[in-house]
Amino acid sequence: MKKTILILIMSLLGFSGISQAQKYLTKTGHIRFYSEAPMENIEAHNKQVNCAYNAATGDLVFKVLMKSFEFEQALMEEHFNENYIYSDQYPNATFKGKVTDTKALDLSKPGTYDVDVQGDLTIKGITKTVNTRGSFTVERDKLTGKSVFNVNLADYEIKIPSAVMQNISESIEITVDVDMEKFESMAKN
Amino acid sequence: MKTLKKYRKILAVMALISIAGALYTWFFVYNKPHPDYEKLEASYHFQSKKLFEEYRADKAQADSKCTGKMLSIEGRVDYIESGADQSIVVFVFDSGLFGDEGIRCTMLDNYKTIADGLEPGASVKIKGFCTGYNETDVILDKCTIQII
Repeated sequence: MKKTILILIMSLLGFSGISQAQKYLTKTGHIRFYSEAPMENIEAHNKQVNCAYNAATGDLVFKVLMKSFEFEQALMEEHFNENYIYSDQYPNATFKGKVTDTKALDLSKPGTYDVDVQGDLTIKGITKTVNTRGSFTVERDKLTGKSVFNVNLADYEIKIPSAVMQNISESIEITVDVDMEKFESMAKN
Repeated sequence: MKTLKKYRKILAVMALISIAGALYTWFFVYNKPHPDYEKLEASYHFQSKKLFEEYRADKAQADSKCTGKMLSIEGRVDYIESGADQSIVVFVFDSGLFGDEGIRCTMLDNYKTIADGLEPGASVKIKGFCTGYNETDVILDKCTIQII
């Protein structure tokens, strides 16, 4: 009986060890958004993005603080926060989704793999489904994820005043670039 | 003839006013500089753990009080994440899905060297722009640091 319990405990410990080893994380992910319009191009960067990938389940999660987006021009940053995103009211954006073809990704073999990602992107409290193609580059204990997709402002009820219609695109290009590390290798120094 | 001269004067004055207005808008509105974060005063001061606890206890209330404002905190550094383009001073108070949880302070370029030279356990005072709490960490950006 004791032996059975011991085997059971060891199995459970072993299982949790495996599942933990299959998590990849970063807190310094980079998201860029880019608007190309006739009058001007607008670009912003956020390098404080949380991203976690669970290789066992394919779950992929992003947590983004809207006030962490940096613009070249202070006025644009102000307008982004106060007139379009309302970041005081909606400080966070999230993506909760999955890599749908996890079999295409071999974490034991270094290389770059194209993957399909599907999930719910929540901005301004509005959630829409996003389907996109991305890539994962496997390199020892590191996993680099990249993707480029477009978001329509109308989907998130972001209205562009007619006076600046020529300055802001109705479709914003989102570029995601995350260098993740295995969970256990993120331990304290 | 006099009337024509008068009109010309009025047009010239209007043109000057328009040019001055356009220049003002261009330089002081459209291209106004970002705030000088190094010189901004902090709205609130916290012991580092207290700030983390405020967000943990009531995110909405802490957001309304602290997010989007300059804060200063004091505490003992747990570790530094030094990268090519940013140095982040980290205070750890918990752990969860995303590993360590606490406060992450990204330094202004002028303060990177000081941060990179810190040892874990160093007592510091940091002032920075709070961009919020992402359910794992409180984020302070554009930070200055002083060893105390």
